[in-house]
Amino acid sequence: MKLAPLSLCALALTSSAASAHVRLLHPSNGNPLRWSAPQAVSLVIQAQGSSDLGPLEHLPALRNAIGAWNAVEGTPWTLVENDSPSQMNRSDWGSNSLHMLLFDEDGSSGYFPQGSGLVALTLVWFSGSGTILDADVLFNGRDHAFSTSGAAWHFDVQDVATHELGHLAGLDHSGVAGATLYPYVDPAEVLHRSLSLDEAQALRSIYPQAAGASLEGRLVRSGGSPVRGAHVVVRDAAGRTFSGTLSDANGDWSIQALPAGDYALYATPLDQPVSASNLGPGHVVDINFSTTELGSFSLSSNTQSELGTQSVAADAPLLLGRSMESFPRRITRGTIQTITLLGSGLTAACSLICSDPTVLVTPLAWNTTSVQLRVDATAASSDGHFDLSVLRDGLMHTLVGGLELAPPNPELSWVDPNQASSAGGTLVTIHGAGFRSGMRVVIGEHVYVEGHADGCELLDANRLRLRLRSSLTGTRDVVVIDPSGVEGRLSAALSIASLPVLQAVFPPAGYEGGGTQLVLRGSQFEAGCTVSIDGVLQPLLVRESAQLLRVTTTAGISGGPYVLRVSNPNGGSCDGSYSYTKQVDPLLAALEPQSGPSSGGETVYLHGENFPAGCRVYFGVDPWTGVGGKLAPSVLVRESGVLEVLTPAHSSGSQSVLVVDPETGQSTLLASAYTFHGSSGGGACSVQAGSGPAGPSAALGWLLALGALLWRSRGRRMRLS
Amino acid sequence: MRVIPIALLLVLGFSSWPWIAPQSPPLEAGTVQRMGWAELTQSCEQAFEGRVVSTHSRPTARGSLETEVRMQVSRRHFGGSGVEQVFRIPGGVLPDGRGLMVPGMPRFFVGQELLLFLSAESTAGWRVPVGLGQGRWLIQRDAQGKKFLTRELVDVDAQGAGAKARVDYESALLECTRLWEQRRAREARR
Repeated sequence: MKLAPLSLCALALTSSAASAHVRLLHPSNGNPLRWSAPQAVSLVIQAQGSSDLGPLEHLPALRNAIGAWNAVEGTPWTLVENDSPSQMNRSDWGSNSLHMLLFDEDGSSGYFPQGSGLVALTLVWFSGSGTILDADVLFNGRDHAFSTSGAAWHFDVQDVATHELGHLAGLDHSGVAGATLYPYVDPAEVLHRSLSLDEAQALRSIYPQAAGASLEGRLVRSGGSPVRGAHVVVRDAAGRTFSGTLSDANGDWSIQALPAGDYALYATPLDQPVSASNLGPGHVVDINFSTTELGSFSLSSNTQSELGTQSVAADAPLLLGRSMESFPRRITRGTIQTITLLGSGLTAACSLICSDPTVLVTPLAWNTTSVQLRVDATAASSDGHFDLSVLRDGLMHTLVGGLELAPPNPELSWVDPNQASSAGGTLVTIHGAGFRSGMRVVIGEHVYVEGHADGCELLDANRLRLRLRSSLTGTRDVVVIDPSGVEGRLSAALSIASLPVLQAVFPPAGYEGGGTQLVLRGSQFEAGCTVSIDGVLQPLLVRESAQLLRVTTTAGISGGPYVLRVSNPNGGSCDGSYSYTKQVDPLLAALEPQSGPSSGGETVYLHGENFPAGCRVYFGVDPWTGVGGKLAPSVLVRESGVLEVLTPAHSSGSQSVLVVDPETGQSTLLASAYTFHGSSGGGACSVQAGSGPAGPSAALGWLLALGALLWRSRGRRMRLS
Repeated sequence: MRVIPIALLLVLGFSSWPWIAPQSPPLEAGTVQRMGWAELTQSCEQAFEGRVVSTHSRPTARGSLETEVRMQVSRRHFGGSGVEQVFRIPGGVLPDGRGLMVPGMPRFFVGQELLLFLSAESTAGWRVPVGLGQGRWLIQRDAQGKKFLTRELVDVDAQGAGAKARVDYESALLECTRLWEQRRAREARR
């Protein structure tokens, strides 16, 4: 963002009020920062990504991060990506109206001094009232390595981006140790890809769609002085860390936008592993008290519960969880794990309490500054963050949401097919285990979200199916990302090549002596491609474009259909079919007259060669493929080279005419050969140039017809000799 | 700010030095590497103690916003010279209330006594505390006048949580001095 004249902005000084979650606050007046139009916050991902990644590889990771925030229900908050190439190629990310995610690969932004240790930043511009005016996310690509595949000592792009987008929304760090907005991240960490309940709740309270229930109260010490910055947390009935906030300078706190349900409430000092120093300016935090249970509550919709003033428990030299540890600790469903947590005062006189009743926690060794424990999570335990508390002499310290129950990684076994065209359209089935609703599949630069249009389809727990979009060529990993953020990956599972795609072969059959003019329609016919019929290379090939090939067939053996194969120089190929017949190809050379009424019923004479008995004539066919058109109601073979045809009714315009032998499929087409007029009456009008391919094809058709005649003569001569 | 653990920390036995280990790292928004004394002393271009004399936010020629921090230096530990240090950090608030927040950037208040580890200058002319909040320590004194370091101001009489937040000044400086000597020796060899 660039600064506007000072006079444009008004100064607003209001006192800070207690609000749900931990917000970014205006450093001077304490106003919480927020977007004024949260229903459509535009974002642009710069096309140039990280030099550590393949071309466009950053896109799915960043889009998944955007998707994580957009998936929160009950709030109008929506990040809207503008993916127009003109926007994605912009470099003026400082522009007020442009909110960009970009990698600074050379330090040119100026925000990453050497030695700063900065990995990524969110720049948030705000007004005096707290309205966010602009925000951009910068990744320090010069000094740090990024990855989307969990590479060691690389930062996971999606994980970091999800965190930064939380700041972009106006959120400060969370006191929930397992949350996305936990202040620390480790290389290859992926659990921050998914939002905690606390973060979803934060969006609902900052940008509410409905009021919901609320809890509020005041915290004081035994002497009556207010407790500032106490972390007040509610757990849901399943023991999941649900939402938290900080008390304000008066000790007042309020948690809003709660859905109806049963909750347990407690206050805990924000001392470790998250502390006041992790928060932006404006927060004052008292930590000299112990975790204090504030009661259990059953809330109905939209009720406001005022709990009054409550006292916190006395301070104690007791701590569970240190900032130097990685959080969340992943607890895999259906497993028994042994973990060690750091802290202080952790002696045999302590006991551990787990907030999730389905998870069994057993201390194994108390070492004063650490505790080793066994965690037994049943397969029936539900996903999410839960608390672990240490209790001694009636005093408690709680590690808030420090453990996260997550499913085992999805497993990928194979992908069928394992080759696909870069043009897209290939239906791919991913086989494996542990698939469930909400999965995201990443292949190349695309994300396929389960249940979304253009996404993937969950067939069962072992199969996902999707239709590939057009993409860059290369060998791709296939990645299945669980809603929790954990992923399964099959390396180099899919080869995406510039495979030719054959959509039509016209005509589908021709004379065994060769000389038939074939038109092959499709896409990605590369320069240097070849065509073979039943393995026999067809040397008379003209590549008119990546979508059109013309082949004059060589002689073949009557029969078929044979495989007609188009092969690109890189080895990719596609197949169609073609048959050889003993019968010589028909040839349509001219029509007389060349125009008539749209109402049809006109007699037209078709001149050419080898019109078979029983042949059919179509007006208005596709000049490339022979498809479509209207069947002439009457066709009489006057002689081998003349057909008397009654025209069908047809819309006005110049149309291509097709003669086809329904027995063999042999055909002859004359492009833009007949013009239907809007009114009745006929006459010998000249042939009008058609639009699109028909125009040039008319002239070309004549040339081809001439060529075919010459070739046929050659063939006959050859046959006779 | 988010940090990554550095293997060296583990090698050095971070948790085995409770008297000097940064027990409450001053980490704020954004994403930064997790840093202990080894990383702070290795990454900084300058390290010094001093008191904040003034701060002033202003627009930059590049359309951004910065805050100039002026400090009276009482003791230099590494790099730099002179009794005054002036540096600029990105972000700040203008008199009309508009501002730029760089989440994670520590704030400087007049009168604060700090131990500061500063980065080199960026292309925009900015220096930041190394690891953002991790490179800025408040210097406080207990009732006996003994110095200690904290991330945030704490009640000097607190015996529980307040005591846990302290890092012994002398021990920390001793360790940093040892690490700086190693760094100088390494750089001299190069």
